[in-house]
Amino acid sequence: MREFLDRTILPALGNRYLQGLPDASRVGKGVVFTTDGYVVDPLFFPGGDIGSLCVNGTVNDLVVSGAAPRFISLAVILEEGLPLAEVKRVLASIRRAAGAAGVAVATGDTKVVRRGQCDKMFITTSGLGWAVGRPDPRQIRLGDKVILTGTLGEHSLAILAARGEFGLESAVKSDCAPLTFLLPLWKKGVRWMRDVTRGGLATILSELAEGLPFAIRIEESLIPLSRPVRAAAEILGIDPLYMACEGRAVMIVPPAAAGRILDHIRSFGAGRRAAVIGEIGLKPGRPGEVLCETSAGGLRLLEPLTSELLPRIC
Amino acid sequence: MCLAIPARVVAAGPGSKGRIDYLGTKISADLSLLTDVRVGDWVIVHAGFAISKLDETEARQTLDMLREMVEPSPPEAGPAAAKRASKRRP
Amino acid sequence: MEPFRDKKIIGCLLRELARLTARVPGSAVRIMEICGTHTMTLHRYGLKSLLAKAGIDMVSGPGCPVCITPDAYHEAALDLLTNRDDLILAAFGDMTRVPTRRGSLQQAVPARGSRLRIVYSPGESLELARRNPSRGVVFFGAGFETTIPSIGLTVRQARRERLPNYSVLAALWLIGPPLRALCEAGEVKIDGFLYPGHVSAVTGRKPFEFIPVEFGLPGAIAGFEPADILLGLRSILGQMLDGKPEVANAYGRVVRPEGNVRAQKIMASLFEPRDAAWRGLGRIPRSGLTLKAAYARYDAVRRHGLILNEASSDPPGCRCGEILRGSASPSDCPLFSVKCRPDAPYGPCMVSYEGACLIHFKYAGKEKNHGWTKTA
Repeated sequence: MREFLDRTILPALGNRYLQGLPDASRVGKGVVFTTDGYVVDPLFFPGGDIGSLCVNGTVNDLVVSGAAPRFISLAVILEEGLPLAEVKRVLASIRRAAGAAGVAVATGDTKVVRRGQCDKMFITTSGLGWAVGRPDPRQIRLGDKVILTGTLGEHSLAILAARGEFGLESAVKSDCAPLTFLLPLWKKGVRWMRDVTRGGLATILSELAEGLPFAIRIEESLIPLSRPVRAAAEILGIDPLYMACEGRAVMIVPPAAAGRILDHIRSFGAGRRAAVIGEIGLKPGRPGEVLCETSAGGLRLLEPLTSELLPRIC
Repeated sequence: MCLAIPARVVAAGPGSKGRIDYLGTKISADLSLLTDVRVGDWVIVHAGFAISKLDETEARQTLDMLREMVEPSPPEAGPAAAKRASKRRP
Repeated sequence: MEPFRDKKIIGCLLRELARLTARVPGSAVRIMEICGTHTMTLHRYGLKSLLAKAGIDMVSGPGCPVCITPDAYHEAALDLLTNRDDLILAAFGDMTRVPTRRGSLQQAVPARGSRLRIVYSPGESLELARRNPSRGVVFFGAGFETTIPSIGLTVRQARRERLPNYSVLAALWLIGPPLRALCEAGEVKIDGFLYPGHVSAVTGRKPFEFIPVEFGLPGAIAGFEPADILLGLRSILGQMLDGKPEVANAYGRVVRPEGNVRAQKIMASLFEPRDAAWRGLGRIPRSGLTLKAAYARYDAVRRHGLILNEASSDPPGCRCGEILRGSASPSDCPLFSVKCRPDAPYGPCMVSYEGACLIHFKYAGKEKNHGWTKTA
């Protein structure tokens, strides 16, 4: 995908807004703008559905880009024959999620295509927010701490469980949720934030590390994992460090601010398992590397995921 | 490859269909490659098939041996030590 | 489970290994881990560098089905997927990610197409066949004796149910023959073998018995937790120091010396040996399995008239065999980084992420300035 963006999209459309392919763009007068397409399969899964996903995903892109979300647009493509009850269920979900995130659906569009021309429902949401802070990786320093707001992989596993594929019976629920509770942190010293979506924590950190003159070192034993994810990951041979979430963020913060930032996050239900999982360092570690000290004590180099672990999870 | 996990059988049958529990998550497993599998047995499951039964005595011995490396047991062999030993699960 | 990964216990075992290797004359002890899952455990826990510090260099061997299955199989799978609208290809995840000269399966087919399904078990592909009677289902997988009986069972079950739409494109490999080929081909700079615990659960110790007997090399069957691997290595060092090579069983909780007899019988009833071409190791007689004639209709190759150009996928000059034996290094290979690269690999040494060539490619020329080396 990265190659496709670099080789095809950027050459055709490249401008100063798309430079660096940010999750959201600052388009002037404090306005931050983002968009995302949602093709999740199945539509409904434990802990969420395409409705909550399409609102929270876009809201979270704005939050981690330093913006307080205010409006979203909603473009829905429906496959002919999709039961009306399902459409209503998704709409109710959108309404609830928008309410919880404090955004208004300000504009939208609906299209119906013939059976077989889309898979049940595809949604694109765009989001507008007002800048309250600005992620700046250039501010990152040696000794800065890496904070993860909660357990990894719940969303990926919820999708797997919903696909009902290997008779997997798990207590998991998707972590799909708004990260708006992190907005005040932009005034508490956070340097950089990303939501941990496709590719998982390892990929997100690799992308950050690429542009840094430092290494990022994390400790496996500090990473919060729930029992269902631990179990499923071992059964299926999937690494939780590469499993996507839809309501978790990773951030880089100055060491002096780490304590109060952690307190803030933990005061919210979605952040109760937040933890400092590592730091910015060198030796061990070369610039651009992400190193993980494993639970057995050895060091492992984490590389970005270049292929799909699981297709169509968002 | 050889990826497999030790799990407890929670349902055996009908036929070769089984259900196993691993850390609270349940998944189906085909039991055709083993004979006489009962609920409560521990099996090794690879790609959805149980390929071997866990020998619980050996498992306990290995676990005890590993634990001894960092917590050598006190020299007494009275009821307290026996209780500790019996508490250890495979 | 926790003691098998406990940092203190691992530390203890590593110190013990260091004490043992100190008593072995000469430089670092070279042990070959044969199974891809052992390679994966070493990688996932960052054990290679810890072991190197304890005086043990681990070498990745040919027991990684994904690594040694030639391009021909992936190309056949790609052809099925792109040319046959009526077929669903159900594959193990790791097979869909192997790069070939035409890209990986995942890259070649948009994920949207439900005709490529990633499955965790061959049993799932059988279920797919039952639920999609109007489409053919081809299970694409590679495996050693751990997986072969399970694949066989799905074929047997398909026959019992008279399922007309199920077949397997399976690259099936036996663990013994490549080890023999490796040992017989020339000087083996390997001091001992870590034998695959789950293959052994099926085969028992039989496939490995010739190694201590004919070549005097020690070895131990080991499980897959970090502590299991270290216990296996401890056994091997003990054999070295006592001068008593054998096939030791350090995985007694799972492996019986005779293996799983029922699984062996299923293999014997459904499959017969064939001469097979291994990526990087060439043609090894009776090293693979193929479905017997009675089950021909469940073999996707015969069923769909596929052509497997096994010989053509190995270009002249590939030196993986020597690299595996330790008698050549990646830079000695004329194909290295010229024709053989991570995105277009030839031999297993470039496909396996612990393969000597892949690691060399990634780190060649980079300074090794920290406490860990070559862990990727």
